[in-house]
Amino acid sequence: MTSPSPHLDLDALADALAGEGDPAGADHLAGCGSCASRLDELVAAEARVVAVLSALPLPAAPAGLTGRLDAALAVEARTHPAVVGASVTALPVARAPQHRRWLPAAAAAVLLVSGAGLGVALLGNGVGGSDSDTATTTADALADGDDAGLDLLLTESGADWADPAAGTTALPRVLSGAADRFALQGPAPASDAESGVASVDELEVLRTPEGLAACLSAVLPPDEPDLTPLAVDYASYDGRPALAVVLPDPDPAQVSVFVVGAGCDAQDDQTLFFLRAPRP
Amino acid sequence: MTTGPGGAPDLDVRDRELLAAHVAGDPDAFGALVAAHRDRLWALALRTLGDREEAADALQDALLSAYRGAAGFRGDARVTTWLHRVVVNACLDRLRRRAARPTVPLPESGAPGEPADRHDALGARETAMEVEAALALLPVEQRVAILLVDVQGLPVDQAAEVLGVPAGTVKSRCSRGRARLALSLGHLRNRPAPPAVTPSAAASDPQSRGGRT
Repeated sequence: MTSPSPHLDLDALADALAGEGDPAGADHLAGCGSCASRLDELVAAEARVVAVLSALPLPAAPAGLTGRLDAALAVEARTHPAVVGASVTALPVARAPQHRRWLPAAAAAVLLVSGAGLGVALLGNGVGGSDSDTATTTADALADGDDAGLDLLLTESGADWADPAAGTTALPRVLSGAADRFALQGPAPASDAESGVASVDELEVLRTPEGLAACLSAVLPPDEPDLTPLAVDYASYDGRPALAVVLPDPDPAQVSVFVVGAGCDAQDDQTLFFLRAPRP
Repeated sequence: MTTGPGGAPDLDVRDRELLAAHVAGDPDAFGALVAAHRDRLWALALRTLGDREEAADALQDALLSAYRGAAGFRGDARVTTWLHRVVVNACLDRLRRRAARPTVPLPESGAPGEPADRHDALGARETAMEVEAALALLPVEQRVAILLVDVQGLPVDQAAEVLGVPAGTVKSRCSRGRARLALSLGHLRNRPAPPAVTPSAAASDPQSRGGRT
């Protein structure tokens, strides 16, 4: 007489239950009451597990997830109007604008038809401060040291824009000027930016006219570089220092708020969050 | 799970229309598509990764990838299957990158494997938390298969498409994962396989003649 096959372990029993067991296991099951009994137990237990799994409630999405995704897609549309990948053809989004609306989400793509050139021009004027034929944009004016003449409201609201209530609490204070006002500073020491040493104030660069100009050149829609923000709030997002740039929205009853990270510059606006809120 | 396992045909038609509109330049179409699936995709990402921040990052990566790759959608799968695949891939990428880091169970929870009688006494909320914690302890391939089939409600063949494996592999992963969950949740006694049966013992075991196929 040959030795009987070993009993089936839990995985082998589960495979048998799924109809995916191997023939040797099936042969064993056919002749082993112990394993057959364990399989019966498993059948009942899996049925209970499936019932519990199918009844799991949807976990609540975190506050701000929608705005975060909208912001990411808006940035994507603005910065990559025609993405070509291995199996991806160029999206015609940027070539076939249907609406002038530039936010939320993919609508921003329509602005990118000539965006790259404008962005470079802004950067050249804003950061370099040379070769500026005109200084008509916010970024230009800032870079030319003309921020005093700009109707640009700079605040330090202390708000955390990740707070879902920020649109109804911080925004009115910012736009009414009730929040603490803020004045731009001189140029940041070059050593901080280049040494990579974390500055105590992560927003330091953005507190300079040059830094803010560079950031705004990335945030402002390329076909509306002369758009003046309604306010720029030095605040935080999810506990990290961040800048909230409040812009007019195509819907006059609303405003658009871009919350950008401390590293916002002409190349990367580092948008963390996008919010449309009723205009106070 | 409630909404259309695998996506009802009419919903798939809507999804295809939105995707086509996005590719054709409608700036609002992709947002509408995302809005229709966001909550379920969020649930999938969260339960796969077990970490809210990472899940949000993965979902963002996935949706950006879908946004960019929309024109490459060939239409031979349901849009929801495609979206699930993109999200699963983004999650698996993250898991691979942090392979040395253990998955953090979602909620605070007691140790898995409570006795059945205690389990029965728990309320639905506690049960859900316990299940989430037990899910987080599964091997990732079993966890993802179970999430797709048993939680998200995808048919096995669609889950196989999402994962790029044969349907039989999905069935096996699901069944093995359910068995582990059954142990963790106290629905199954954790008794080891009996020792190898000697010929004499087998002959004296009346059950051994009962057979099962």
